[in-house]
Amino acid sequence: MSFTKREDSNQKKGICVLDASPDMTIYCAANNLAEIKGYYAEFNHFELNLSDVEEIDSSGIQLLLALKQSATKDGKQVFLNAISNPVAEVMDVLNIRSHFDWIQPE
Amino acid sequence: MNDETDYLAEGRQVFVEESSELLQQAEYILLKLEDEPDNDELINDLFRTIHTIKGSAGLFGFDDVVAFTHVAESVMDQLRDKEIFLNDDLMGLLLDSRDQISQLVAHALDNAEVPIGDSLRETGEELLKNLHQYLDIKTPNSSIVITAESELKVLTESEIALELTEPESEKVTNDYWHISIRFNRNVLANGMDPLSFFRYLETVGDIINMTTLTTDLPSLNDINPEESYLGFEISLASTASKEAIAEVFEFVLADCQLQILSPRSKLSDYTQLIYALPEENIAIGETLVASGALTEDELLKALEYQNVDIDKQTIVTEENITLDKITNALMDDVIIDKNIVDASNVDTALDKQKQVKEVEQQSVRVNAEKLGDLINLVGELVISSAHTELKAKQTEQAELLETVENLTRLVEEIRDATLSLRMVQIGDTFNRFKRVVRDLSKDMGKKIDLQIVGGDTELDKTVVEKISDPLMHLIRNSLDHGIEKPNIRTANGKSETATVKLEAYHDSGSIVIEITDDGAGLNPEILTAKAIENGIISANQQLTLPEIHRLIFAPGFSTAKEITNISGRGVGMDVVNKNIDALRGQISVNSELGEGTSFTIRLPLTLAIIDGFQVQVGQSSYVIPLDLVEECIALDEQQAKKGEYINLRGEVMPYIHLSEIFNDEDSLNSTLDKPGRRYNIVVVEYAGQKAGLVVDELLGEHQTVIKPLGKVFQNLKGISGATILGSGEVAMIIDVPSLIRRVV
Amino acid sequence: MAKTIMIVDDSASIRKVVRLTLESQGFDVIDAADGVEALKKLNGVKIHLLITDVNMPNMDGITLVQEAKKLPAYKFTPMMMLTTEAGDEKKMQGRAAGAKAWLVKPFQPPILLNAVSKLILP
Repeated sequence: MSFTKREDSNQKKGICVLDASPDMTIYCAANNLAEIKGYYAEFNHFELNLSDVEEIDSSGIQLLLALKQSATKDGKQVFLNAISNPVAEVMDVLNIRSHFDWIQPE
Repeated sequence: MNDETDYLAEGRQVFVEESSELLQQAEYILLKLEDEPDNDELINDLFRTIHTIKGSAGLFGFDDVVAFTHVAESVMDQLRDKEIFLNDDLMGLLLDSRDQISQLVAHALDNAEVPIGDSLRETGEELLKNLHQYLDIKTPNSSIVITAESELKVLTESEIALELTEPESEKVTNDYWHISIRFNRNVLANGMDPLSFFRYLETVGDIINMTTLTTDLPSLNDINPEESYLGFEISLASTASKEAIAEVFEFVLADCQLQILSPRSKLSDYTQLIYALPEENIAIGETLVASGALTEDELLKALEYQNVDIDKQTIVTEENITLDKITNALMDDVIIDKNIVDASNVDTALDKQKQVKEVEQQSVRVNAEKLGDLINLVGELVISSAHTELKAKQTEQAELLETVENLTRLVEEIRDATLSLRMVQIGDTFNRFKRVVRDLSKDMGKKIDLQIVGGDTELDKTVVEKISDPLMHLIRNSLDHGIEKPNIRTANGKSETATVKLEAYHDSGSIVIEITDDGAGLNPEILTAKAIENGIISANQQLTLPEIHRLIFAPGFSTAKEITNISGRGVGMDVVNKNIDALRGQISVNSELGEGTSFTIRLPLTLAIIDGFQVQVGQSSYVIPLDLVEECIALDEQQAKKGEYINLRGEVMPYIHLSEIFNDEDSLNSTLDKPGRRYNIVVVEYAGQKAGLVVDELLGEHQTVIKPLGKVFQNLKGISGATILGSGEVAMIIDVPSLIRRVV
Repeated sequence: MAKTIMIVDDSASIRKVVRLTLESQGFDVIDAADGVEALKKLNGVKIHLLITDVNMPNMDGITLVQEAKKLPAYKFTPMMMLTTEAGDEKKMQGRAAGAKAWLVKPFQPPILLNAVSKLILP
């Protein structure tokens, strides 16, 4: 199980809130993509919670970037919610925080 | 740094043992190769042993070892590639090289800081000269460093050339390196994560700006999540050289497009970069501006350069070639046309490895001291278990007895298993003699074939260690005195090549080692004359042939007419005899004049624990090694008084009263007191000779932990040690071989 | 969560030093003396880097890399070859098999750590 849709997703009208699994490395890349694709077909508005991610590599980052890029093109919305330290570290190395839209923590 | 020294020190401990094992193996392989010079597997193994020594030695910075081993390894590599072939000369050279490596390793382990001595160095230089002769057949490979330098020089020259053709070119204002990198699709799947390289890059300089390009990134529907699509433009502040920066990416150089522009590069370089990159020129240009590599002004100028009369394609290609050259340089590549092993070969190799896997056993290296401690503890456990058994028997509680019986059985198993831990095959020791025989026979101009039988016979490692020197002496002796020169052999109708056989086998709780040669044999006349001359026997003493043969073991006996450097160096056969005695072993000699000589050594399998047979004589308990006990018979008074022999199923067997031997008055008196009593005879057999030991009572089997006797008691005849019984009482262990010698 | 590195080399002293060096940097280390033993230990346990000698008894490093890459759990594991081979042949075979990183023997601990840190962090 890689991306989990939160139970309260449907309450926030049409918003899909996804919790990313701890492993966002290439070992899980195919699985992660398949699940994201599934939700992507169903929803137009996404909130990604990356606070449980323990390991992320370039393939994981790429996946997030691809989701964001496709969404921009298709007129969908992707927001990042919280991110874990490993994700923050990687985003800083690659200087890509600005590629994403962020939800300010409540 | 301190820590590092510690690991090296710990590793060095391992290296001590490992290197000696590998060197021994190398020698063994070389000698085997002498018989099978075309055995590819052996050549491979040989290469690997030397290769491993080199690798490990390098780890510890043993440069002398590495330098020498490298050349020897190269020669072996040539052998492997069938560029050269084994001949007598090369064989000798490789053996000498092995010895040299061994010396160098010993020196390095001893004191690596001190330069090697002159003689060692000179031998090394001589050997290297000879080794190089084999290498020179093929063009020598230039060393890694030189290759790298020369390639990098090419790079600089091409840069200079470029600069010369465009004297007008302007330079950019930024002070940073610019790195532009596009990874090939496959890097992620290969486990190479760009992120790791960037993290590493931060150790070479400061990343001033990083731009991640997603231009190539497909949509969610089209993306292959295991492929790499990102591009990166990096500004780096660093004092490192271009090569050092390129080296950060060494593992992916073949799988990426990497461009590195030095600080204040020419604008035209940026022009080339912009055109070379896969993205739109304007887009990449803006990225460069955004990342601070170029100013807007510089970008405009750079883009104008496209009209400048430079064939950018060629330059780009040239740049790529140069990068390839770096790649190659870094990979220390000298490209050799070799077909990569085809799949079927790999499959066969795999099958073979699978077979090996089934046979191969894994092993763990354990400190010998720890094993010794374990064996001692098990010894205590055995005693304590015997004690428990005894106490349990006294309670007569069936349940307790049953449990204790179980316990005893387990303790026995533990004992056997523990002792077997220290059992090693004698083959390794035997194999070492191959070299000795080879070298000595050459020196002496004799032709000798050494045959080894039963190398897989196991015995206690401590025994193996102690038997090696006596064996060496016996073999040298046999080579020197026993084997005749080829011309004498042919004159006597023997084959020119003599045979020396080294054989080991198990025989009733002992290991037997035989050294047999088909040489001249012992001449009884010479032996007797010599013994008289040396005052060992008197002139009129009459000796049997076996007694004459045994003279060679007498202290101060040496028959070599001339003292050679091989034997006859004062250390005589008496020392061999003593050493074997100290191991509770026995040596005998058998010889036929003109036919050959055979030495037979019998040794106990282990020095620590034996199964014993407990007997009672008077008030004292004695233990007879169970392996030597044949049977127990009863003897009535009448028979006992007839003399010193009884008829055992038609065989005449001598017997002795232990009570007489050990002067046990209790027992002697009781014998007198009770006429008509029956005696028990324990029939023991050693080295094919049977004898009876008369005892008062048979007490049964008993696990015996041998405790050596103190110095004071060491010369006691008939006793080889002591043991502690379950009751805490001390019992003497009967030295059967010496008693048999006494009665036979 | 410490990362795990497997070192495969037939030299016990090299295994020892590599182990201690890597452990000092906070890596967990698994070692094996040859390809056969290594494959036996690659039973699904997560490893982040495999470092292997080329020339070993029973199964060489190249075969090991080929075999390990066939296992789903190690398909993407970075692999590094320890090579002293004079020629390029082994390195090319290694790269073809999937070991894209290499380290030239003889090496000393700092060099090893350098090469490792190009690939993974503790």
